[in-house]
Amino acid sequence: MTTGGGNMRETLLSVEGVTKRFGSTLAVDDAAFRLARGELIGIAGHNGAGKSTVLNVVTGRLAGDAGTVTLDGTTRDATAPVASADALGIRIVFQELSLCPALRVDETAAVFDRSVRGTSWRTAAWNHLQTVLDEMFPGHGIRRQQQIRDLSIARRQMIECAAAMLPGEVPAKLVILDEPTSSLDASSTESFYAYLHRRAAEGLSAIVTTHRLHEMIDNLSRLYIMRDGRIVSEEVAATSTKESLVAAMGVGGHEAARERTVSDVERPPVPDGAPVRVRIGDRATGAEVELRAGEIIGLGGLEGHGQVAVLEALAKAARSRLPGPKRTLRQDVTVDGTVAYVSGDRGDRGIFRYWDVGQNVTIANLKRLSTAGFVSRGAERRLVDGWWPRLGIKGGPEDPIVSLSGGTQQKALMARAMAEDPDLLLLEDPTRGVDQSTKEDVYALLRRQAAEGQCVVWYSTENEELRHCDRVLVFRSHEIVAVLAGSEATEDAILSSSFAGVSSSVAGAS
Amino acid sequence: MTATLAAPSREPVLTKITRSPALPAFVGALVIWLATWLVSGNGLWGTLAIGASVATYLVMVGIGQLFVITSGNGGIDLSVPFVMTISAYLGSQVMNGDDGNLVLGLIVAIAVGIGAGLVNALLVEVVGMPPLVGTLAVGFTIQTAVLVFSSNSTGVPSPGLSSFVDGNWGPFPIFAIFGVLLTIVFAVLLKRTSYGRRTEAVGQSATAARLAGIDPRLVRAGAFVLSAALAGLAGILLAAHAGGPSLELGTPFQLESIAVVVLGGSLIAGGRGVVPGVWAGAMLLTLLVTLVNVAHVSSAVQNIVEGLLIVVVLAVARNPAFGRSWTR
Repeated sequence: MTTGGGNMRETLLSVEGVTKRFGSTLAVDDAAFRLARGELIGIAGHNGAGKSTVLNVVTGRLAGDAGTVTLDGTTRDATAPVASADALGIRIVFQELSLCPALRVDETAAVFDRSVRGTSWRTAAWNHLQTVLDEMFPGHGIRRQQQIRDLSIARRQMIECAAAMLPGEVPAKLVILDEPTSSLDASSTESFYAYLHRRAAEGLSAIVTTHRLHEMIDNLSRLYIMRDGRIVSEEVAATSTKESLVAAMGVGGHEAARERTVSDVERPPVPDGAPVRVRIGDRATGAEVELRAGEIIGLGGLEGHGQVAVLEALAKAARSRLPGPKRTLRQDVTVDGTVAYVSGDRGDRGIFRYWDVGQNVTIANLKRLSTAGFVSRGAERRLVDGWWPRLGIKGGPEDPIVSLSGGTQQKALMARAMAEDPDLLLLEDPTRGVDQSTKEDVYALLRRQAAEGQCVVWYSTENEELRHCDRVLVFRSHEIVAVLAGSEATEDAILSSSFAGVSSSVAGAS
Repeated sequence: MTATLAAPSREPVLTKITRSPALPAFVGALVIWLATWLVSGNGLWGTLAIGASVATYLVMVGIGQLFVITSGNGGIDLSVPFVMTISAYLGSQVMNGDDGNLVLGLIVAIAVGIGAGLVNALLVEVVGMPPLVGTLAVGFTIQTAVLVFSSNSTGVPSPGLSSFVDGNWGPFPIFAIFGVLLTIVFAVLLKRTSYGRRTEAVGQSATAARLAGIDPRLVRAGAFVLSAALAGLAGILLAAHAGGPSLELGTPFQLESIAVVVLGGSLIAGGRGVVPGVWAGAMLLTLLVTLVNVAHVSSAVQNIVEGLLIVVVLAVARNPAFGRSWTR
């Protein structure tokens, strides 16, 4: 099936038929790929395409549902998790920075370098790490006694990259790099890949996933493209372009077939002097986005690029007793009006698990339901009854919230927020892990809220959803890099502006 | 559809009782009550009346502790015994054996508690200390103050207060009735008021509560103040019962106030409090002491029995989140 440069050399890794389900979601579907000794390959795809999942199965951090993984001639069943990928000769650099903030640099080195012993373990570990750091990032400026929390995010990422290359007890054969350069500037990125190529010449192999497509094109030999859990194509990096990869990653085609659900024509014109006044201003550029009542605003871009910070700042600004804007990393936000917040992270940020559904709905509305501090049970019941038919929740308000499915819990949380009748409704990826029909229900609810004059700010990790929005703010590295209005906000456009400007900002990010 | 909702299917009372997390402690207290009656021959009612009167001090401190524990974040108030002791001394000093100073003395005792509670809240919610350490530090500071103050303290509580805590109203001990009323008030506070709802919400998930517009720090601070105020009041009342303050007055209450909360079915991790359960836990521990006293067993055996009983009750009660049909 695979054809490419890898066939010419000795195969190091061969993955066959790997499948992984999470509940009803098929995260990885029959994935197969190969990697030669000394080869550097990439896996590309948008959020949720299955890249991280397939790599987690390969390293054995996650048990797959089917498939085999052959590493260096040893075949292992992908359904069995592995206690230590290190022992197999696999090193991993995670997308989430995973260093302990309270440790010193030399102590951090010892965490990764299990070979150090004795009283001078810090010195030994630091010497090993420093050797790699000096070679990988000349002039890195990291000192051994610094605490991790005092280092910039770029230097922390340098340490993670370098730590993966430490000699260790079992020599590394394969390095898996998940967004290894997301915080590095252009010159550090360049020297990182130069180092990787030197190590590859000695026989080390690597799999890289990154949203910086040009890095893959410039530095890797072959690229596997993933879409909806499947490996859909294999590309030779040298003959690929950013545009061809974005096209292969599978947007555009199926979107054109669907109609935009929200058209600007359907919406009532926004009255002048609308009650909600929300401003998101960029401190660096002075650019300002003003949101209006009755508008659905999408926050797009790759995960973790500052969207949640803006949502939380909006909530804080609306509830604060102190006047003045609230700050995020790059923006100042001001809100004039009331606010409600819905999180898609139901378990940690949404439900109250010892309560029934009714109590979960009314908790944000206690002020309105109370007289002299006492919650009126009648008023509480009326509020729940009023929302119940609109939500289509099975069962009754006395059912424990944890007895409901995730999607139904989410509807209850939507009801909690909408019952507040806020001027501004904030949504943090509300359809995470929710099935399609519930999603449609949520979209319908949002449209109605907007039609009633609420301003809806909606962060989604699924670009496809953002076609329901009137305007989409695309975030990258905590900056708003694009404001796509109405029909411009296609999946294609969002995705390419998430990547666009990559080259320019890498050059400017140092 | 609205019709069925307007007339909700209420749980039968029996189901409500059998599913109550406080049930094992109530059953345990009942068993020990009967055993004490058999061994002592004091009469069924007499045993209960004396036990309830003595247990009320523990109930008061336990209710405060319950609010701190229920508000979550590892909430615990280890300063209560020291607050009790200092309130007992200062309140007695103000009363000085005179009923004319009774109200002022009570106000001083409660105010001292509120002050200590505010410091607890400050250390935990503003400075960011873990409750376990912060409240213990406050407690030790108070203890030192008591040591200095007690050496030249001569005041005793007013006789009126003593007759309130030790007197009877027909067959009913006045103080136990007060304790029951207090329990009802705080059960209503937790389950029927906006503040109580917010307390349980913050205990279940501070983040979710914050996103729902609740300030978790304010809610938890309120619980610390409440706990210390109740401890202050319990301190002066206990001094009235004992005929004067003493340095070790509060000592047993530090851990017992936590034990009665957990025995009563509240979750130690916070999020769900059972106020009536505090009575079950307090009666259990109080009657147990009476039982082993009248049975003439040594204090070592007494401690073993007490420990075993706590283990048994907690094993039966289990955490509802893992045990019974709660989560399904």
